[in-house]
Amino acid sequence: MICWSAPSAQASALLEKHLSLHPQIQPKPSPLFPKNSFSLTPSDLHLKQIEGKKKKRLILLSLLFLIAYGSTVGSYVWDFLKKQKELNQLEKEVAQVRPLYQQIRKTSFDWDALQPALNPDRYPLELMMQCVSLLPKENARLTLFSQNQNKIILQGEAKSAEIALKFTTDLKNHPPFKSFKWETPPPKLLPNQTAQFRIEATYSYASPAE
Amino acid sequence: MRPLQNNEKRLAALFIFLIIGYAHLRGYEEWQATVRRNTQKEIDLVAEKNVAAILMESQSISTERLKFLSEKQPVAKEPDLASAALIDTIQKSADTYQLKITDIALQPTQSLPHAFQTSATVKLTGKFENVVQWLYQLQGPENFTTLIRSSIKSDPNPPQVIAEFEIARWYKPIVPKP
Repeated sequence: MICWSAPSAQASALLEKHLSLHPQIQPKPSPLFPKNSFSLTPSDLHLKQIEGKKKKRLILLSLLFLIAYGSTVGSYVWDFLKKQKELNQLEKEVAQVRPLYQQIRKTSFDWDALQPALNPDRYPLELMMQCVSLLPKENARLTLFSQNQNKIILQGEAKSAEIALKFTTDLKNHPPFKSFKWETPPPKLLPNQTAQFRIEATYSYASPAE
Repeated sequence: MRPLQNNEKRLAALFIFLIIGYAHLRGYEEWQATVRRNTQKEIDLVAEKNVAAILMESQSISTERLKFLSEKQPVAKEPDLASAALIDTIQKSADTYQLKITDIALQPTQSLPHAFQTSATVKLTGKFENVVQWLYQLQGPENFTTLIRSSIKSDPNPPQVIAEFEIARWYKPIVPKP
């Protein structure tokens, strides 16, 4: 047992007797600091520190949330603005060609509407001559040719129903009349044995203006 | 001002949260509506662009047609007198082909998208050949004259026919003055 000062004789005797310890006197050594230090913080300071940490954590979480929220909203806004830019570009491109294509379309509509005056194939005279060219030179005659914009009515007489039917079939198969829709009721037999026919044809591609 | 108590702070936070939530909801709705509008607009523009591309292919033919129309389609300098001019033309040309006009009447003028139309109905008799020749000279791609309605009936005395026409002339459309 090491002692920094000499113990009393009574104390030395007691130590020897009960604990079998022999006191050795040595000078007091200089204090040694422990390798692993620790601190004992006052409780109010400790509470403040905990509160500060909580606050820091809350600020950090809020910051993270704000960054996440900002980047989500930002990406949507970015995407929206990008699309808006593309849309504006598209609008600009279309606006450039719009007057031109509208003019082309108007010209096309006008041209179609003017066809009865411009296209000789649509002249009633031409249609009538085409009909007459298919009529047999003898034994048949036209008594009425009527035209109303996109509709033609032909009425005539033939010596027999067979001649009338042949004329009707020839009309339907004649190339200039391919764009017409034909209504050909059977010819009517008159008391003098002649067959009276009435044929109606409608132009299939008439524009709404006609 | 006294500091807020905890429950008051919670209420205030809830209130702010609700306001922000509501603002987000409205903002989202508005944003969705804008996106929908833009999508529709994009569809329309793409369709318009495609139509334009198709139409542009016929640009050269359209230019030719436009040139023909601007050069050849007559202009009604005095729209009120255009109908009278048409009647005059019909009467003079019918005389040339020895056709007898039994009835002639002016029809109201019409402003169509493609033309300013003057028209007249005319009933006449004459030889079938003469009627054909008269019609031949009356129409023609550069006359801009059309038969809206026509009817040729055989007369009891061939080769005479009874013909009835509604003849129209299509002048250049009259653009209303601003």
